[in-house]
Amino acid sequence: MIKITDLQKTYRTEEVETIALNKLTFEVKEGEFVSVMGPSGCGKSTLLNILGLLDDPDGGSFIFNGIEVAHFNERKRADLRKRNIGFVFQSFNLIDELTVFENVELPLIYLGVKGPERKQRVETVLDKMQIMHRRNHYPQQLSGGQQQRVAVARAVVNNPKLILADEPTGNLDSSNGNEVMTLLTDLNEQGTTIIMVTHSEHDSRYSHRIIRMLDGQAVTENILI
Amino acid sequence: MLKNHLRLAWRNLSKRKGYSALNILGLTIGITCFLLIFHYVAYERSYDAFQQDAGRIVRLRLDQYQDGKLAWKSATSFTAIAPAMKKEYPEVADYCRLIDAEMLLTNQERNVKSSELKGYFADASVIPFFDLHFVAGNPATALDGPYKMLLSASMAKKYFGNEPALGKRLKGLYNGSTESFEVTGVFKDYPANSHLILNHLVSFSSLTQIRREQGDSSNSSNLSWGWYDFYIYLQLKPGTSYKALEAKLPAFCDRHMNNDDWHKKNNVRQELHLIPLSDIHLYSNYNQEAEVNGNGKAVDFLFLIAFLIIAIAWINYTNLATARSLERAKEVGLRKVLGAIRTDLVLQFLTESLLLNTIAAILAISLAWILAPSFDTLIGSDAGSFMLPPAYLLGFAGIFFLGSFLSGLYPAFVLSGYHPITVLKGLFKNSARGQILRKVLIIGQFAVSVILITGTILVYQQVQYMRRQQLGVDIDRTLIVEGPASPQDSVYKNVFQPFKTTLLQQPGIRSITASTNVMGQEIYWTNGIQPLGKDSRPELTLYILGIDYDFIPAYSLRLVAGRNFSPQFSTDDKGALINETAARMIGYPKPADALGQKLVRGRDTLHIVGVTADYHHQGLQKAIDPMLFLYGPNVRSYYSIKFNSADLHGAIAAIKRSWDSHFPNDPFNYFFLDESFNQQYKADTRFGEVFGLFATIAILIACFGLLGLSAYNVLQRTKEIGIRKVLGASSQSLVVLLSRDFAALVLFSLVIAVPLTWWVMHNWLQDFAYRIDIQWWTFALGGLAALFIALTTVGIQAAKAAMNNPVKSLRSE
Repeated sequence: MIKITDLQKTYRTEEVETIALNKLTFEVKEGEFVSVMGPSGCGKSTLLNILGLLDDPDGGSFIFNGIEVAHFNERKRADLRKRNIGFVFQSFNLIDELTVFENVELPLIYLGVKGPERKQRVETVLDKMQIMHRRNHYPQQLSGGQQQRVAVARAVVNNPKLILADEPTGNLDSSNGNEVMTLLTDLNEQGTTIIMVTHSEHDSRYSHRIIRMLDGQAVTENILI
Repeated sequence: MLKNHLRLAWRNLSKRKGYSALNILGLTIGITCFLLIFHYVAYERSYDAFQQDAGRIVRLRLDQYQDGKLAWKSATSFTAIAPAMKKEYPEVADYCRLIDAEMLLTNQERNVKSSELKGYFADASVIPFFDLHFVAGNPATALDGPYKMLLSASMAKKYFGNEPALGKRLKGLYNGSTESFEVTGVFKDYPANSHLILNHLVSFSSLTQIRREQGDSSNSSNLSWGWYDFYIYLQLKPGTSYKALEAKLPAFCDRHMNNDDWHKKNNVRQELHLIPLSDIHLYSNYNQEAEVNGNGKAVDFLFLIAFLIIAIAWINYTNLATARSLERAKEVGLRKVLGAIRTDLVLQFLTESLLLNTIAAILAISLAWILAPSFDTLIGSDAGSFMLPPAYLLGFAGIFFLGSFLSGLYPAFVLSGYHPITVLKGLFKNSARGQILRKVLIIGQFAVSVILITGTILVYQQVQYMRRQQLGVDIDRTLIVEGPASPQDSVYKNVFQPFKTTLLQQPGIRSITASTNVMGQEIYWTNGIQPLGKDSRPELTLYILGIDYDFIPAYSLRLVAGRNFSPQFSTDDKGALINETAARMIGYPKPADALGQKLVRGRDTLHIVGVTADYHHQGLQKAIDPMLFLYGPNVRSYYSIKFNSADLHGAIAAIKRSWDSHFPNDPFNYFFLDESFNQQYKADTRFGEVFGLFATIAILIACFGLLGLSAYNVLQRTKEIGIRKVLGASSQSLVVLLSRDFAALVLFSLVIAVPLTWWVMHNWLQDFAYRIDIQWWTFALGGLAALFIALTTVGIQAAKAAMNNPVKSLRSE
């Protein structure tokens, strides 16, 4: 599903040049659950941004579903992103002004899904995330675990092929964290590919494979299953 | 999607209540001002536009030049011009002549009598030209013969009550003769938004007839090329450009006027110009205007202010919205991650801007509706309740949507351009470009405010200067009574003397004097004068005031040479007093040189008995004209009664009693001279007040913006303030730190405002013959006022932040 080859990304300021990704190469197959680990500054987040089509690489190849997307313009990237990728962030990143229902509905609006269908799809996913009873609440009225469940609901509502999760349990206590990891595992079992950046060895054990990064390169891969 | 945008916009507004209130308040005030001014401008520009043929009707104007210099411009011209133009120019479809028909009208049966000032002798074409709607009578024949008269519906009611006026007769005392006029038509009251007030109209042939009876055998009311008291309107054939016709008029003037002996001898050249009917009210301000016209310059200026104020309000919106972008950045980033493209976001922010503006507009329309009457009073307009004609409504809608769109567009583009990763990672800072724009906009706002404040000060200074200037004449405690028209010249003396004697016996009445004109009024009586024996010299036009023996002492006019008219000198009926300006212009280096000199005025030869010091006959807008005073035993247009009584009501009642017994056929109309004189400054005083009001509003709105921005600035620098405080900064130094940048912006706005204000106000002052010099400290004062207001606004915010406990501000990060 994802094949990156010799991927490069360098950040330049006036004086310093930081190599974030250094000829990184790896592949993720459809239905896989992959964890990316490594110390701060090793390039994990940069990788996730590029995989999420939020940023473009300086060099190398990025094939998504058989299409080279490394040099897509913003409009094309946005289009591909909203149809195929869901995001889960460490800090949930829900929109404070929108209710739970409306937050989850948002990707469908941008996809152009009609009202009645939107309602039905949002309700289904809220039900599945066991957050239906909070549909009219605002994010700040929810606990961290609930907020992250909403974020996961929002990530999956458009049935993405890929979920990118950036330390999804980083802001949660262990029981809420486990709950979210179970949710992700369930999704993966239903066929969604998941790439998760994490510092937590515990969480990484939920995945099939761990890619360990250092200085912009993949140093080892642990196959867990 | 739109519903979603609207819902979110509404939540955003209600969530940030302070911010929204500030924005809505600023926009509401801005739009209200705009609407009120629009309403006023629409009314001022609606003058005479109600006439169906307004686009094809023009009025003639006559300019006279002597020795190449402009002598005067007159709204009236020669009667003979009208038929000549119709004959010579096929593009002239028809003409209409009007000349004052001030008369004392009487309906003896009902004992109604009144001096009517707002009526004209008019050609029959007046009916179609001015779109008169008849409620009685036949328009086709109503003015087709002598002694026919039309009345407005109100006039008909005044003289005939509820009885039909048609076919009835009214007595009219005109120019010493009493005539009987048949009412041949009644027309619907003429609209107030016209440059003419038409209360009664008399057939033009009546004038010809009356003059013939009075001994004018030359048919001058139709044929004169020298009598210039006629308003002449031309109706052009469809498709004719008045400019093209105007271009042909120099040749016409040369053919008929400029090449005769009189013009050549006196080195006089005359020009004719045309002005479209609907421009008369605002752009015609010449001698002998039918009514006091509006001031096109002031209206245009106010119109500009309307745009400036609404622009300031929109700038606030743009400023506050971009300043707040930091808060909105996360939302933008997320939406982008979730698949929003830039267009979606631009639309979302534009919806917000439109929603906010719409709320403000609804409030503003209600406010304008409530405030319109007070605004009318302030500005001296009779525009009435708040209503905009369709064209203006459309204009407002256009400007409103454009303004809402543009003011929302910049923030929309800034916000929608954020890169999601930068924002979501918290690496985002407000861009330098946005800050520069905000600074430029603040400078613009304050430049406008400073211009308005300084302008207000200058207008006020000029008005005060005019009011405080010594006039050279005593106009205080003077009651002016309009003189009686009915007594014949032959018996007048026998009535006036006993009247005068009775009045002077009243306690508190000092003097009574008669004249043809009083201070504060334009003198229409002019004559060409030459020193005797200097026939080759061009005539000098002098402004003539007919007076009796008491006029000079009653008004404390100073004589710089010679003496006043006196009954001891029987030759004084051919005597003349001139003012210093006239003496100088005729060519006497010292006033005393004029004494005993002879002046030729038409067929008369006058000898100069005295020279008066110059005085301001009219307001200080006007230069002092060369004047000639003539003694006339029968002059009686006005009686000036000087009093020193505290019991004003008692004095007036006594005067009226005496009047009624001596002049039973004449109405008693009076006014106070100082009030009437000061009316001349009313327009300028009002201009100053309106200017001041909008200056205040402009700076108020600008301060709303500043308040929002400084609050935001303080918020952004909370951590910095905390650290500085921990490191030992005093509260004062922090206030200075936080206010410094804003102060610099306001100071910079002065650089733009000062030259602009100087230029605008210098031009404005050119309309005044006597004017102030613009002083540097006026600008300093205006600038300081703006700076003070701005710093107070910013300082309060800064002080609040500086006095916070630093621990609190550090924790907030």
